[in-house]
Amino acid sequence: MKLSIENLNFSYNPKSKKIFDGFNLSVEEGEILAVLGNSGCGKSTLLRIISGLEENAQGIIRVGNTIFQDSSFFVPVEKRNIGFVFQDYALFPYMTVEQNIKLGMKKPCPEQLHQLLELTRIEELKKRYPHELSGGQQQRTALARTLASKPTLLLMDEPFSNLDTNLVDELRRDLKQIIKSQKITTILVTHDRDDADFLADKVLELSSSNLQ
Amino acid sequence: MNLLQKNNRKRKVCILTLLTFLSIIIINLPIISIISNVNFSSNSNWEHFKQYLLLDAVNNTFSLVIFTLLLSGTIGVLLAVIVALYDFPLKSFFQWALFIPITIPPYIAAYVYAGMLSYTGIVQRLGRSWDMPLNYQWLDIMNIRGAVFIYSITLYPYIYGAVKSFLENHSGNLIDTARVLGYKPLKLFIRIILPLIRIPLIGGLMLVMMEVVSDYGVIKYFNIQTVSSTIFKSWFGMGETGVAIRLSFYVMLCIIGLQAIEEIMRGRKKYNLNSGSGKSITPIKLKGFKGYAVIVLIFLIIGLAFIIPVGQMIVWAILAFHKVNLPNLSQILFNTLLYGILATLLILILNIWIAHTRRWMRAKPSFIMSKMTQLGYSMPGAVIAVGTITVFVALDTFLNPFYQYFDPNTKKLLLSTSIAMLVFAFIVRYMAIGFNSVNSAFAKVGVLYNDAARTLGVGRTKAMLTIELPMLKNFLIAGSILTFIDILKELPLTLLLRPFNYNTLASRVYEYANDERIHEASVPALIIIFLSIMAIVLLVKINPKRKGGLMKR
Repeated sequence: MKLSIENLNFSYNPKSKKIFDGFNLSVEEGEILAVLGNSGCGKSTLLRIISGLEENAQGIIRVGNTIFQDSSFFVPVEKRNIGFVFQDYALFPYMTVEQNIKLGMKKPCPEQLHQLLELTRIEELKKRYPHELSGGQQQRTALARTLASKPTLLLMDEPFSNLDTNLVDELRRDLKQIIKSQKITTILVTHDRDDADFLADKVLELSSSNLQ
Repeated sequence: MNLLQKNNRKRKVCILTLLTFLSIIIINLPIISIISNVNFSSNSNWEHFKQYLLLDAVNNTFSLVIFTLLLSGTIGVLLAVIVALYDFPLKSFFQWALFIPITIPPYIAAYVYAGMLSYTGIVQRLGRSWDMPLNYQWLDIMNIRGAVFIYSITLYPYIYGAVKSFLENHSGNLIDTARVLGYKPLKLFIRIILPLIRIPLIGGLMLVMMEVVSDYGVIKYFNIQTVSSTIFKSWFGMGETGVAIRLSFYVMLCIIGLQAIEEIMRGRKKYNLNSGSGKSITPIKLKGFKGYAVIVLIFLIIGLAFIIPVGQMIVWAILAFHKVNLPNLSQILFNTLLYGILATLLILILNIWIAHTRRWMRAKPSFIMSKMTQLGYSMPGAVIAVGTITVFVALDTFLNPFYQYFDPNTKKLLLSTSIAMLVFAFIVRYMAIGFNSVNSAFAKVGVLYNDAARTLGVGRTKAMLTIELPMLKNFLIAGSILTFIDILKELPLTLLLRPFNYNTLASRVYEYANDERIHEASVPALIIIFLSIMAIVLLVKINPKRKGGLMKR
C-alpha cells in the first residue's frame, strides 16, 4: 500500500530542536525506499513515528486509504498492522524460532508457518533459541516473524548493521527477493550507501535539517 | 619469557587462586559445619519434635512463604510494569519513593501495625469514638494473615527493583516489537512481559522467600511457629543442638533444591539476549483518569508501607522520648555503626579480591567460586547462626591451650563470646549482596585496563588497586551501601550471636517491643529507618548509571 506523510513535525521534548519540521514523504505500493543519513539525523525516529511508537509527532500519516494519524486522530501502534524489524532483531530470547514466528500470527496456521520457514530458509532451525543462531539466521527469523503478521508496510532499521560483512551480500539478495515476492511497501534505514543502492527503488538522504 | 619465569607466573596465579578459594571456604565454614555435624540417627528428641512440632512449623512456614510471594510478587510486578512502561505525573519522584519501604524492617512494621490495630491503638479508638461498624476480627493481625501483609508491604521493593531495572534495561525493543505485532496491554503483560521477567522475578521472589524464612522478629512477636523459630527454640531454648542442626540441614537442602529446579527448568532458554544493547523502553503517557488512578494506587502502597507506620512511630517517639535512656542509646548507635561499617568493609575487601581473581579463571571454577560466595545469603539467619556457633566453639576448643599459655585463668570460650563471631556471621550472610555489585562492576571493565597497565610494567594487583578501583568507585560504594543497610536492619543473627549486654539498634527495638514498650521501641526504630533512608539517598546520588557509568567518572 502507498505510504504518504504530510507536514510532519517532531521533537523529543518541546524545548529541544525539532528533528522533523514540515517533512513530507511518499512511497508507492510495493516500492522499497532506503533512508540514508548520518547518526542522529532522525532515520530511526522516522520509522518509530510511522509505526506509532512515537506518539508526539504532528502531521498526517496515511497508508493506503487509512489515516494513521492527523491533527485529531491517532491509531495506536497495536492497531496499525505494520511490520518492524529492529536493528537488534528483538527476538524473544526465551522462545524458539518457531515460537517467535507464531507470535506474529493473528491465528496459529501451520501452513503459513511452514511457508515462512521455507521462504526465509530457516526450516531446520525452528527448534533453536535465538542465542543459538548466527546474526544472519536471527535476521531471517525476525523477518519471518514480521511477515507472519501480513503487514501493510514493512519497516527495517539498519538490517545489516550487526552482521558479518562477508554475509551481507548474500543476505541483501535474499532480503530483496523476499520483500519483492511479498510485494510489501518497505522503508529501510541504513547508513551504508551500498545497502541503499542494492536494495532500494529510491533513496532518501536525510540531513540534520530534514526539510525535504 | 624463559621457563623459570613461566613457572613463577603460574605459581603466582595458582597461589592467588588457592588463597581466594581458601577465604571462600572459611566464609562457608558454618555451612560446612552443619553438613558435617548433622546426625540422621533416630533419637527421642527428634521423634518428639517430628511428632508434635514439625508439621505445624512446616505448614506455617509454607503458608507464610507462598502467600507472601503471591502478594509481594503481585505488588512488585504491577508497580514495576506501571513505572517502566508508562509515563504519568510525578513519575520521577514515585519511582524512587516506591523503594523507600525497604528501609522499614518487617519486625518494626509488625510492632507498629499490631500497636495501631490493637484495642488501645488509634484505629480501634477512632472506630469506637465514631461508632464505626468495624470488623474487629479483621483488625487482629497477629496471625499468619497479618504476617503476610507485613512481609508483603516491606519486602515488595526487592521484586519491584529487580523487575523494573530489567524491564528498563533489557526489554525496550522486545516490548516495542510486541506492540507493533498488535499486542494490547493485557495480552502484552501475560504473553510477553511475564515470561520475559522470569529471571529478575524469580531472583526477587527468592530474596523475599529468604527474608521470610529467615525472619525471627515478626513470627516471635506474632507467636507463629515456623521452621526458623523452631531452630531458635530448640538450640537456644532447649539446648537441643541435634534437632536444630538437622532442621537447618533440611532447610538448606530445600533452598539448594529450589535453586537447582529453577536452573533445570530454565534449560536452554535465555532471557536477555542483547543485554544492555537494546533500546530503552518508550513509556506510554497515561492521561486523565488513568494517570490519576495510577498515582492513587502508588500513594496507597507507599502510605501503607511507609507513611502510616512512620507517622505513627513519630507520634509514639515524641510521647516516649523522655523515657528512653539517651546515653545508652548513643552507645548502641555507636555499636551499630562501628560493627556494621566494619563488617561492610571486610565484605567489600573480600569481594574485591574474589571478583578480581575470578577474571582470569576458567568458566567452571569461576562459576563454583561465584556460587560459593553467595551461598550464605541463601541460608536463613538461624542456620548461619547455628553453623557459626559450632565453628567458633570448635575454634575456641582448639585454641584453648594458646589461651591458657598467655593467661592461665582465661575463660574457655573467648572468640565465641566476642563481637568477632557476630561480625563473621554478618560476613557469611551478606557477602552475596556486595558481591553482586562488585562482580558486575569488574565484569563491566573486563581485563582491558588491567592488561593495558601490565604492558606498562604494573602488576595485576597493583593495576587493580591503582587503576581499576578508582574507576569502579561508585559501584563499590553502591554495593557497600546495600550491604550496610541490610546489616543495619539485621535481627536474628544479632539476637543469637551478640555478646552478653551488647545491643544494636535492631536488638534494642526487639527488646523494647518484647517488653510491650512499643512507644520506646519507636525511637531506635526511627533511627534505623532514618539511617537507611540516608543511605538510599546517597545510593541514588552516586548511582553509577545516572552518572553515565564507567566512562564518565
